[in-house]
Amino acid sequence: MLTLKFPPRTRPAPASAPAPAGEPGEETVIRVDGLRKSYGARQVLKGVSLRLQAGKILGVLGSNGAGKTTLLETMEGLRRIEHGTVEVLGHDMRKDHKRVQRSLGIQLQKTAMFRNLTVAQTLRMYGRLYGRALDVPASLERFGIGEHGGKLLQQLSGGMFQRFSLCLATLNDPRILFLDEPTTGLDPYARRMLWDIIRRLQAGGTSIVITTHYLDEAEALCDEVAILHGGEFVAYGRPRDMVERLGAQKTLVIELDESVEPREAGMLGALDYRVVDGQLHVLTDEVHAALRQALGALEAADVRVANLSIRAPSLEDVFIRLTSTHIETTPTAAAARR
Amino acid sequence: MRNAYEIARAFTLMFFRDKLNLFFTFFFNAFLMVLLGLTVADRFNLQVTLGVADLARSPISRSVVDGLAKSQNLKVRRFADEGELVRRVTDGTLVAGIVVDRAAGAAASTAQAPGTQVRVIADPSRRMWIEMLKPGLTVALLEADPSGRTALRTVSIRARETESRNLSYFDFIFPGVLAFSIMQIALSGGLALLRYRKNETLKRLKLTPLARHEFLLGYTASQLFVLLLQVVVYFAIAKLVFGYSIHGSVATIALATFLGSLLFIAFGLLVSTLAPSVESGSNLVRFLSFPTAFLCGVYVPLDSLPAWLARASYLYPLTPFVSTLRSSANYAAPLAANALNFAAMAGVLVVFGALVFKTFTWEEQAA
Repeated sequence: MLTLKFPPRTRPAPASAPAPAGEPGEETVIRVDGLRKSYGARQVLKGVSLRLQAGKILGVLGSNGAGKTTLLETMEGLRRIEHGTVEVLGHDMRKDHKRVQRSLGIQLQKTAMFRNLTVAQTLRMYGRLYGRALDVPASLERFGIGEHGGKLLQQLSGGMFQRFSLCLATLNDPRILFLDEPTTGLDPYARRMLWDIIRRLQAGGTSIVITTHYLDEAEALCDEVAILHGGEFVAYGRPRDMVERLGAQKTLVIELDESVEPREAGMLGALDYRVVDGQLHVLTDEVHAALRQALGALEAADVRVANLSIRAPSLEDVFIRLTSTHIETTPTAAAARR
Repeated sequence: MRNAYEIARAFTLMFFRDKLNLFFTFFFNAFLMVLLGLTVADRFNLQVTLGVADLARSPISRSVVDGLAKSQNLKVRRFADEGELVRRVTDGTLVAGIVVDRAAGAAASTAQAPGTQVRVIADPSRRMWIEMLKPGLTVALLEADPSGRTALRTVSIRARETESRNLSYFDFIFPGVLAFSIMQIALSGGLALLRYRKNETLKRLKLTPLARHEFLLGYTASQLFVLLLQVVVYFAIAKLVFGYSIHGSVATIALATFLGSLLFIAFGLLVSTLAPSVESGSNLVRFLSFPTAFLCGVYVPLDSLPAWLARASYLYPLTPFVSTLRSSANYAAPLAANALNFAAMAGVLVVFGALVFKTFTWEEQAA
């Protein structure tokens, strides 16, 4: 894992972005207004509002401790609503959370189960708690773990366990599925398998709220993303719109010859840049001018360039710009940069 | 009820899949019990509680009794009449009883031998104790009447057969170990729940339509099943290895076992709810288990404790549980004789049960 730290950039206004209204005629399955939540003196959510339209995937992004899980668990009915309103499937979650939970699929961030039961026994038990007699082998097969029904949960690999956890979260055919960092710790192959499953569920009409640290995941899966920072949404909208609106700058990536040690400042003349993974990153609106200026400065200093690329703005750039904080990059993203 | 059944089934399956659980539930205490039963036999209690009825009330008879009371290995309990003393020997409260007849005083003064003067009343199985008593009695008589050698000659000691059972050390510890094991397993169950709460397994269950009371009912049913199975296994071991047999009412023992098991399941649930962490819960369970093995009449008779400590031990529910099982199984005490113990256990169960319903949570409370 790579940890990047960027200094604050100009922040777009308004600070607490309003929730998009959604397309006319679309059913709103989640409606949150002015939600505030505190743990003791620490205010975790400061008046958050959002909407989720039926059949859409909403990604809630934010750094560690930003309040993503608190927001999700409040919508799931696991946390008491102190201020504001949360309406799920048309029901006030203050009063009806137990009833609504029957129609929700929930995968907790730290999914734990009775590890001494087999996969099939666990699924059967949860199914019966929902009053359903499941076709266990078929249910497991749908998630690609059909041959593991006889294994104890403690014998499953991380990827298998997450797939089973998703299988469990969907056994009641939920109208809304909440996934709290479902791919954390998985290898790229397992992540993509889960993405496929999530897409299939969406295609089947399930509305999904997902939190993730992986911005490429949010970009690939979500119809809308909301960036939570300091207890507020600092951006909310379609990922592509957000990138166009807030991450307009491109990144000029310059890889120097191995013999040259990149310096934090002064290598590219007057250009503003950062050193990331031994590469020089220049954020610019004017790629051509920046390129000429950078190469000129390096030429003058007799520094050889080993590689050069121009990267289009991504959700990650937007996120870093808005949250100005640490962000873990995914293994694939880090690999792509190299 | 269907949901409660699912939970009971899951917990029972998990229990039988855990080899360590099986070992501690069915073998560990049983092994200790067998080991102690085979090796300690009757040598465990060097201090004997002896009942003495001084019917002579003469200076010599008083000296005899005082002499016995001075003995370090004897704890003397005085009785006004022979009937009560015999009853205590019969029900096993006393190892033996000594009756100093009126003739004892006369014998000393007349230097004649009028027949039995000091009688030892004990179960024949306790012949060892009777043999141990003889030298002490002889010394006591000598000290009481150093010049009256004739009195000594006239003393004949005979063991009077009573209705008491032939009790060994195993007979003594068996009901105690049974109750103790029930307590241990039930409290350990509470620790497991504490772990399930900590690692959010219970939080996941909370998201299903499962109600709190259904979960508690299912968990209790599973624990009860395991504990009652443990009781059957222990009785079978006791019967096969030591030929142990129940002398009292099986119904009374079953009721006591049922009530005691429920009580300690509730106690375990309470520990799981009140302990802030698994570590503190483990320490609490250790604290509740280890000293009680010695303070609640499990391995050591309450008689051997100072009177105040023996009385105080009844404040912990294991003591009435052990006492009820022991007196019912070994001495055929009727239900009415243990009414107070039953009432105490039921009372504690109600209080613990209410506390569990009030305090049980699916997840750790947010700071």
